[in-house]
Parts: sequence; C-alpha cells; structure tokens
Amino acid sequence: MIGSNTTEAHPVLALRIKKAVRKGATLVVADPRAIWLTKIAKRHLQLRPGSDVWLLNAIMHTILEEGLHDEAYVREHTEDFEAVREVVARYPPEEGERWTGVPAEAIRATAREYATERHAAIFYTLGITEHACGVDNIWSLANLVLMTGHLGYESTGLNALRGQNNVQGLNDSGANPTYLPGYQPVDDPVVRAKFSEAWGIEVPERAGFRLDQIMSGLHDDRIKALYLIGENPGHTEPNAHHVAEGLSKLEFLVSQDIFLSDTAERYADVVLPASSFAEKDGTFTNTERRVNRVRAAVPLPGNARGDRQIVLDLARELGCDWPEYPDAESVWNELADLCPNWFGIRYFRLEDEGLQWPVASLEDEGSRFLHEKTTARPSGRGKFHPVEYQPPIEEPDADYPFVLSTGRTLYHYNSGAMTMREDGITDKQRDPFFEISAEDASSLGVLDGDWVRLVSRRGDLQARAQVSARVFPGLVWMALHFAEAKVNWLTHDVGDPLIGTPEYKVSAVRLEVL
Amino acid sequence: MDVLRLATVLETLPRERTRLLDNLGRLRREVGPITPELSDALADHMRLRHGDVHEVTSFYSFLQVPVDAVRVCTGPVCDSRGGREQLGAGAIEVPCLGHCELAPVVLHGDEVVGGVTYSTNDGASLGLARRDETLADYERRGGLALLREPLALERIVAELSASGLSGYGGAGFPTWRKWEAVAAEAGPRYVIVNADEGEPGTIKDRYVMELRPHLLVEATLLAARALGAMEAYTYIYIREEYATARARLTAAIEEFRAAGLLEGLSLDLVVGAGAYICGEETAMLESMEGRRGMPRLKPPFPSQVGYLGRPTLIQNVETLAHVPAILRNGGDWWAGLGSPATGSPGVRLWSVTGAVARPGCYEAPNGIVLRELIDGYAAGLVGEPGAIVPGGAASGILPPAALDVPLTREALTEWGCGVGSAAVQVFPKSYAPLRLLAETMRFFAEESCQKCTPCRIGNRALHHVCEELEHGRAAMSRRQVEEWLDAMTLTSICGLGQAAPYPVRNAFERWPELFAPLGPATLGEPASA
Amino acid sequence: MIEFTLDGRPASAQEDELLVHAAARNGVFVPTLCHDDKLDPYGGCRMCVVGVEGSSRPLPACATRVSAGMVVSTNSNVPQLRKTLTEMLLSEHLNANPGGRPNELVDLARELGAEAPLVLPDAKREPYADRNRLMGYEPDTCILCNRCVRYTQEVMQCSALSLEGRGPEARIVPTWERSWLDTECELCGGCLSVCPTGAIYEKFLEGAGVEERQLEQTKTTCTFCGVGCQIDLNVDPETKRIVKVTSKPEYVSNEGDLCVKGRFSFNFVHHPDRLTEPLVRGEDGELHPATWEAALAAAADGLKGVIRRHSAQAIGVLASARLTNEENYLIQKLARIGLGTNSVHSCEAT
Repeated sequence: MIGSNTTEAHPVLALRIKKAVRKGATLVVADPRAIWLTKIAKRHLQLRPGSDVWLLNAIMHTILEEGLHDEAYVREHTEDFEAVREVVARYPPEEGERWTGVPAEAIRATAREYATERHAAIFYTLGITEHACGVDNIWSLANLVLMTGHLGYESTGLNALRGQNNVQGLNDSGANPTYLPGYQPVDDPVVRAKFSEAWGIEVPERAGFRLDQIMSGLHDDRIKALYLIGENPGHTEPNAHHVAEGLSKLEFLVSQDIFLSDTAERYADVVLPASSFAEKDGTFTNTERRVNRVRAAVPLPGNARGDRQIVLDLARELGCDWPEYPDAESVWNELADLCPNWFGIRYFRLEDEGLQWPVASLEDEGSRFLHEKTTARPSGRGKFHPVEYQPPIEEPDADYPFVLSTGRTLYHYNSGAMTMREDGITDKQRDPFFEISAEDASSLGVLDGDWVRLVSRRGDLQARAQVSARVFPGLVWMALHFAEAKVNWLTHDVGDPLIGTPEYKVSAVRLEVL
Repeated sequence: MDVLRLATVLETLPRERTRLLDNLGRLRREVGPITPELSDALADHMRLRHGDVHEVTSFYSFLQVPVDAVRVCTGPVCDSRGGREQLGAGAIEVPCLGHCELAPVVLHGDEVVGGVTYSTNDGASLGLARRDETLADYERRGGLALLREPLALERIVAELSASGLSGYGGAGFPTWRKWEAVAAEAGPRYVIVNADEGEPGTIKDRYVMELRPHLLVEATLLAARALGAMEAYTYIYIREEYATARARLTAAIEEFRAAGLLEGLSLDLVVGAGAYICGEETAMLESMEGRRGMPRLKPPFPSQVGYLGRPTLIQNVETLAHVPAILRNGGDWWAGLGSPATGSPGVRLWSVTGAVARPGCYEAPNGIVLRELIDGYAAGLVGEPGAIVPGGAASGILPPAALDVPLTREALTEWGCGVGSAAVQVFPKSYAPLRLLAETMRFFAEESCQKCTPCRIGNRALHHVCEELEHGRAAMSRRQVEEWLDAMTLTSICGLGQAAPYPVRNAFERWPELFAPLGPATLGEPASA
Repeated sequence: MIEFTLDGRPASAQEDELLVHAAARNGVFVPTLCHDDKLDPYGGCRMCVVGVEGSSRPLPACATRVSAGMVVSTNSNVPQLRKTLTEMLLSEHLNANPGGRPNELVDLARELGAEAPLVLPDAKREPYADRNRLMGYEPDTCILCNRCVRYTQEVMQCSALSLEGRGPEARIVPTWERSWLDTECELCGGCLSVCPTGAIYEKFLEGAGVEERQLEQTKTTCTFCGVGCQIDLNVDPETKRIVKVTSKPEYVSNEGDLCVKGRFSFNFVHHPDRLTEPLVRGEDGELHPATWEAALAAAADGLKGVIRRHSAQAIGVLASARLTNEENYLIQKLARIGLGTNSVHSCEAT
C-alpha cells in the first residue's frame, strides 16, 4: 500500500486487506503517516512526503542488484528496460535513506519480499498522484511492476483506488478534454467522425482545456463562463483564495447541485436544483471497473429535477435536437454502442451484480484483471519510463518550517456538503483539526485540542491541534472537509506538468499559537 | 494512579500477548487494581486493542481488586461451617480457596487467617508427611536420579501403562496415552502443568506443591526431557490464591536452575487471576495465550493442537507427581499399591473435608471404600452425616447410605456419581441437601464462562429452581427441568456445563420428596453422554 | 466432492465444508444464531447441534467440518434440544424489539413453538445509554452470541465492543463502558448488521414503531467512495423517506459490510438545506427563486452570450464523480456538441 490511507478513504476495501493479513499475507505500508494499516503491517516505510520516486528507484536498485527481476517477462513483454536500469543504478538504498528517511535495510527487505512473491499487488491512491511529480510516481510504480512481471494474473498489478464513487465512470464516459467516451482520443479524426455521425453534429476539433487550465483560465481571460455540475472548486481546488478571485471575474456561472455551495452562493448566475444518488437511475463504475446499477428510491424534493433531465432541458434550450432519452438506460445504450469495451454491458445484465469492463460482447463475462495476454499499449509491450527524483515544489524554509500534507478522514466526504449535515457523524468529528507530532507540539507549547493558526504563503486558517503519533516532527497533516477552515486556502497550485494534478500533498506552512 | 510508577513498571513488561495475564497480575501487585486507564496503558504498551485487555481483565475475579483485599471462601464446605458469617464490609466472596480442611477459610491478602497446618500421611508414592525444604532434602530422598539419567520415552510410556496411572484432575484419561499422543506429533511441543486447582473441596495439588515442590519440578522436567527433544517449553499454570505454593515452587525452580538442571529447558509459572474455568485444559490454554479463559471446541485436543497451536501435554499436578515413583520403582510396583478388593491400581491423594475428625489430604489406594477412607485416615465422622460429595462439585451427591461403597468409577456410576478429583466432602445432616444443591449451582453459574447457552443459562435457572424449592415453590416443571438438564449434558461445550446436572439428577433420585413441588418425574431415561 | 449421510439419505459436500452449509446444500436447514460466515466458527449458541455417529455428544454444525462417510442426523433428540436451547435464551430475553430490526430468536421460537418457562431473576441487565446518535443498544435483547464483538475483532480488527465479565454479570458493552464515540469504534455499524436479535440498532428508528420488514428496499450503489458498495436504501412507504441503509452478505463488492458514511450518512438526502427551486441572480445581485422555464432560459442565454461575445472555448464545463455515467455522458455531449467545446473535465481528474 503506497500513498493510500485505505481504512479511512476506502474503509470497506480495507476490510479485504485486513482479512488477507489475518490469513497470512505480508503487508508493507509506504506512507509519511503512521496510518491505521501500519498496525497490522509487517513494515512501515515512513517516507518524507514527495520522496516516492527515490524510494521506488531504490527498491528497483535492490531488485536489479540482486537479480530478482523477471528477465523473461522483461524480454518478452516490455521495452526500454535498459533506460530504467541506468537510472536506478544511481539510487542505492543507503543514499535513499538520507532522502526518504526510510532505513536502507527496510528498502532492501521490501524489494526482496515484493520481487520474490508471485502474488504481489501494489495499491495506491492520491498519496501517489497528488504531487507535482504525480506522473513520475506512477511511472516509477509501473517500472517496478513491469520489472517483476507482477501483472496479468490474479492478485497482482498496479491498482489505483478511486477516491470517489464514480471517478472511474466519469472518465470512462468521456468527461475529459482529451478523450471521447471509452478513452477514444478526440484528436483522432476517425474517432471524431464516428461520434459526429452518431450525434449528428460535428465534434469540435480544437483541444479542450484540462481542469488546471480551466482554473488558470479564470485569471488570464481564457475562461468566461463555467457550468458546474456537482462541483465546488472554491473548496476543493488548491490555492482556494486565488480560485475565488478567479471565479469573481467570470461573466457567467451556472451551478447545478443538491445544496447551495458557498461558491454558487457568491458567484452563480443561475442555480439548478438537482438530484442526489437516491433519486435517480443509472450506473456508477467502481475502482475495479465494475459497472453497478444506481436506482431511484425516493422522490425528488420540491421542484428539484434529475440531472439527466436538467442536462436535456438545457440542451433543448440551447437548440439541440437530441433523441428523447426517456430513461437512463437509453443513454447508457448510446454510450455502449459507441464504446467497444463497454459494448457487452447492458442493464439487463447488471441486475444482480455489475460487470467489469472490458466487456466486448453480450457473451463476454467481463474482465477481473487486465493485461492478461499483453499490455494495453498498441505495441503490446509495456514501456519503461526512466524517472529521476524531483523535489516537491515548495519545501519548508525558515519562514514556513512545516510540511503540510492533506487528505481525507473516515468521517467526512470532500467538502462536507453531505456528511457535515449528519449529526451522528459530526458528534464524532466536527471541528477543523490538524495532526502534529508530540515533539513539535511541545516545542511550540501546544496542547491537544488547542486552536492554532496555520499560515502559508497563500492564506491562513485556524484549526485544533491533534497531537498524534501518526506524523513525524516537521510534518503536519490536515483534512480538506472543513468549510470554515478550507485547507486549500493554504495549498499551492503548481501541479503536474503533464496532467495538471495539484500537489495537495506538500505545501510549506508555519504555525502560530493563538 | 501513580503515573511515574506505572511508566516504570510498564517499561519492564514484555510485549508478547502470551504474557498479558502475567502483566496484568504484575500491574495489579506493583501499581494497583486494574482500572480502565491502567488497562489501556498496558494495551498500548503491548500493542493490543483496548478491548482485548478489557475483556481479559474483566474475565477474572481478582484483577480489579486490591492485593490486600479480604477474600472469604463461600465454597460448600466453608458454607456448611459458617463461611458467610465471615463476610465483612469490602470482603470478596470466593467460591473455593482450596483450604477446605481449615474451613471456614479467610484470606487476608495472600495470608490464610489463622495460619496453615497440614494433615496428611506418608504415602509410598508421594510421601507428603515429610516436607522438602531444599533441593538437597529432595535429593537425599532419592530425587534427581531420573533427571540425571533419563529413561527413553518408550520405557517411560511402558511403565506408565503398567502402572495404570490416569489423570487425577477429574477426567481420568490414561496418562501413558497422553504422553504417547503428544510424542507422536511433530515438535516443538509444550508441557503444561495444570495447577489451577479449583474444584470445590479439592486441596491435594496444594499439598504437593507446598510440601514437595521439588518433586513436581523434577516430574515436570522429566516430561519435558522425554517429549521436548530439541526445544522444551514448560509452564506451570497456578491459581492466584495459592501464594505459598507459588513461592515454594518459585524457590524450587531457582534451586534447579542454580544446580544447572534447567539447561536447555525453560520452566515458568503462569499465575491465574481467579477463574475456576481456567482449570479446564483448553480454557487454560486460552488464558495462557492472553485471551479470556473460554474453552475451545474439541476436537482437536490439546495433544494435537494445544498451546499456540502446538502439541501440548497438559497434566494435573498430582498426576505428574506420581511419575517419578512409578519410574523409580516400576509401573507394576505402583499398580500394586491399589486396593486388592476392587482391583483398582495405584494410589491417589484424597481430600477429605467437612464433618470428619481430621480433615486433610491423604494418600490412599484407589478403590478404597468410603467409610474406610473416612475412618482410617480422617479419624472418622463427626456427628450424623447428611449429603456426601465424593469427588468435587460436579461429581454428584451421595446419601449416607453410600458410605460402604468403594470409590471406584464403576461403583460410583451405579450411584450416578463419579470419582472426579477425589475430593470427599462430608456435610452434616443439618446442612440441607437443597442448600448444597443451590450453592453448587450458584457456583457453576458464577464460574460459567458464558460462551455456550446451556451452561450460561441452565446453571442460573437451576440455581433459581433450587432456591425456590427451599421455599416450596416451583420455578419450572419437573419435565422442563429434565429437558434443560439433558440439553446441558448434551450440548455444553466443556465439562462444566456437561457435568453440572449430575448433582441435580442425584438429588432427584435420593431425595425425591424435596422436588415434589415440581410435579411428577418424566418416564424418559435421562440423557447420558 | 465427498459423500456423507444426512438423516438417512446419501448426501454430498465439498471437502472440509462446514456441516451447516453442507446440510443446507442438501436441503436440510440447520438454525444458527451465533454463526456468521464472515467470522471464525464459534459454536457458542449450540442451536445448530446435530447428531454425528461416533460422537457421544451432538456437535455444532457451524463448527464441524464434513468428512467422507460421516453419518449426520438432525432428527432424534435434535429438535427437542433446539427447542430447549431456545427456551433458555427466551428466559432472559426481556425486550424483543427495541429498534425495529429483525429478531431471529423470536422467529425461531415461533417456528419451534418455544416459550420461556421462567424469567431468570437475574435476567435484567444494566441499561446502556450512549450519547452517540447513530447506534442504540438494548442489553436486554442481547443473547451474548458475541457476533458483534467478534465482528469488531476479526473483520474491523478495531476495539469497540467487549464481552465483559464472567458468570451472570457477563455482558457486551463498548470497551470499558465508554461511549461508542470514545472508543476506537469507527461507527461502521457492522456490529448491528451481524446482531441476530436487533439488540444493537439504528437509533433513527428507536421508538418509531417502524419495523425493517415493512420498509421498501431499493438496491443501489453507495455514493461515498470508489469501492462501489451495494446497499439497500430502506424507505418508509408512508413518508417516502430513507430511514436506514442496509446491505447483504451476498452483495459482491462489499459482502454486506459498510462504513460509517455508507450506513449512516443518508439524511442529507432529506435535509432542509436541499435546493428545491431554481435560483436566478437578480438585478439586486441576490439569488431569487425562479421557474424552471426562466432558469433554463437564463442559463442558456448566459452561455450563448459568452459564446457570442467570446467563443465556445471560453466556457468550461465541470462534470462530477458524484453523477452517474449516463449523466456524465450527456454532460460531455452537451459540452461538445451543445456548446461546442471539448473543455469538459472535473476535479476528480486524478
């Protein structure tokens, strides 16, 4: 487990991990914090935030040094291995100990255990991706997996744990500037032609903006209007004060949501009351690519409308001449007809349990794991990407001496719109808090529960100190759920250069005792 | 709570879960009664869940009370001799303190109020009349020779087989078979001595440990040597109330260690904390592993899957103590010590207490006639006897008419009873059988671990039924009571619930008039195991 | 597969299968109370004892594995033993329905015609009041099957509940009788989901007189993370409100397990803060309720205005992982061919 606080972010999936450990599986946790899973782990690699590449390269260094890689797999199924061999040769575990804080022996032991166990799987979450070097981190993990041949059969692979209920499906269904539904590239004329024909209107050729480009577009006049559906970027985007400033410049903002977010309240021109998950039909796709049915159980409140209906109403208002889409299934069928890997998934097959895509035909039972015969790349070979360590964008200094890392807790969900409205849950966790080591707390004279001001170059907030053995001296951690103390007032917005994912996991702050 | 003291003590406590009970005991002695805060601190230290330590702490009777508390025995013998009158403010009731010959018994901290005297005889096998003060004393009496020149396992098994020795804890399983079964399993193996003597009326193991501790240590080491091969882990699980026995064993073990006789072996005491059920062998294993002392489902038996999942020889103190004599003099010699009249082989220690002239613990032949035991060893009855319990709480109840019965399994079965742990308790006629029965059922109810329904609820219901009968009222019908007894016998997990119905059935038979309010007996045969 | 004999008839089972499952596979239902397939065999309630040839006592089917040639009987004295054990449990079962959850003991008693012949004088347990607002606990409904405690220990592997004490005093309580909120409990409600008698229950329904069995269940997918737990929304047919969330062991992704959010955070659906009318910002700079016609027209006009003044590329559309695949599909379609931009993305792009 690397960069995944599974028991809090994916509590039910964590039960499977607990069960596996109880049955004898070896668990190694790599995380800057001593998260719950470290209690049952054989080893905890408590790395400094942002040093993942160093750690992974040092693990690969050991594997190659000791000849534990899967030579046959590398030869037959991969390309560019030598480039990685050259790079990781410069990452010995002993030096890695200085950069990552993880003892060299622990790095070596982990390398041996991972490489020599046939059923070895890697799971990661946002601790890997939410870095300015997020893509590098993923490539490093992919290198490790390819080098050991740990993919293409059960209980192996590189497994992303999707943070939200339908992140997988959101991307699958084409809410992405680069891909049309089913990961069909929008810059491919053949693909565009197929969709244009199906939809009866030309799909625009011009590349769209990614989220980070949209957000920066608020400031450089590229973006003049936003249509937000179930989103609150004023809370969830990094450097949130700056985001708010950008939103204030918009000419037009539509917010479609179930609650009036503070962003919508201040900036929206039109607010459309929408549906919660309990009021609609459709599908969500989970982290193992399983398409599951969503079914309406209760009526919509007041004059709220289902999101499908709203989008259709707006399309009509915009002059679109679309099919009727009387129900969710009719929308799904259009998607499935256009996407080969989803073609075999139809509602009547999802009644009891979902199907895991790819499902090419109605006879196809779905895919429990990927890359069985070949990797998914066109060449059929897995590509090694050599990666060099890059330090985080903002390192602590004399003015801002603490590393701030952010994340979620078990009890709340993102901006808290839903869970902060549940009394039984806020009884357990309501006030904004941050974790601080006993050493740092005592040198600052802070007691457990004291209110402290956290200040970064971009903003400040107040939260209660939770003196905790989970963080080491120099590291503080805070969750993003608190409306009155948005941690994204503090975070910076320099994201990954390739895909723009923000570096929520490392910012520099100072603490002011109140 | 003294926080500094706690921190200092915690630092010295081992972290293995198997040491949980020991650690709790040490915390109690060195810091104070276990409070939620102490429990959590220990859990954090041992990296256990807070709930795990809570569950274990609350399972035992003594962990949450001060070490200097006054403990009053309310076991049946003490109860019949005014035990409850000793209960003052702050005193704790304990079902049996294992000093029944001194009844009524009160412990002030570790000390028996009024001191301890021994009443025993110089038996050929155990020779309890002479107390060994030192290892040298023991060696002068022929001890240690076997340890210095060990016999082969096959030979030991053969001698044990010839002797006819079987378990004296109550179950009566042939000893040689146990040794053979454990030896047949792959190592490492464990040897555990069951010194959690708790069966009301039973004092024999205490006599062995207090008077001949070296004998027990040698016997234990013999077993370890014979079965241990490369590794030998040996434990003696002793009840907390036996402070003197604990001290004497500890001293003896140190003498063995100093004499270099423990080389390659380990022998440790595990101290209980007040729970009768931990004398049940699988409950004992659970307790030793740092969990609540709740019996395991059998099979598998401890000889295959025992302590920490390894093959384990579990032997009662007295059983093991006979082994050196058997090996020294031969199994046939030892078998010949038995009663010629009944053909029972060998001898055993009989705890004879209650309304007798010289209550105590006597080595006498197996199969001895009850009256002979009382007259010949305990100097005869005092007053007119009422109910007689032949072998501990669950062994059943005999009427005075049974005085001429030989104490063999066969003969007692005819009376619906068993030899059990050979704890003969004679109650005066003035002590009503219903009171005895109610007290016995109360004991079982309070000591039930609560895991299985029939034992957990059945004993409480029977206690209530008996108490109501004392007032002439029927809480249940006779038919219902019999159905419940059947369910207890047949479906309880361990011996506690399975055997608890015996005294009730005996009483049905011997004193039918007491149960008249319950209505007519059913015609069906009682369930047998 | 191996062969064995069940009630005089030949039967087959998988090697090492638990007798309780093997019997069910062969059409013989053996009742259990303390058994749960998620948990290690316990064999405490003894309700499932069956006769096995060669064993002097009947054995618990929940903890005994089938072996070839085994001769198993659920006849003879087994029905009487079951009835007696049920009577025993009833004799301290003082409250059959504290929170509207199903009670398997009461069902079993009805089926077997068992009634308590007496009420144990020490049946009454100390009531347990907890300040948490999610889970209620009625000790007088508890049968000490220990499923809840074992769930916390074996499945959650946390410390929330303890089996405390010994003898008649024994009971189940949150660790050291603290509030659930002050233990390591993660409020997942797994304890109540495995409780066979409803002694632990959702507090929302305390005293409401609504029984789980009268609720309308709709199976759907949880909305709180990427695991995709399958859940049943239990809706009160009168009020059309969700009153609880449950799950079932046979549901694939989560096997009936849920977390605190999945089980307990559903009241937001009916929260008074829900938006129930479209809002349009007026001349005064404030948001005012509007008709759908007006709001949709305002939205379309606003977006068209931006396209007219700038271009479609000046519009950003942010979809959401909260929405269904179908909704997201329509949103990207709207962005691409309704508005004319590929700038459709979301903050869950990682």
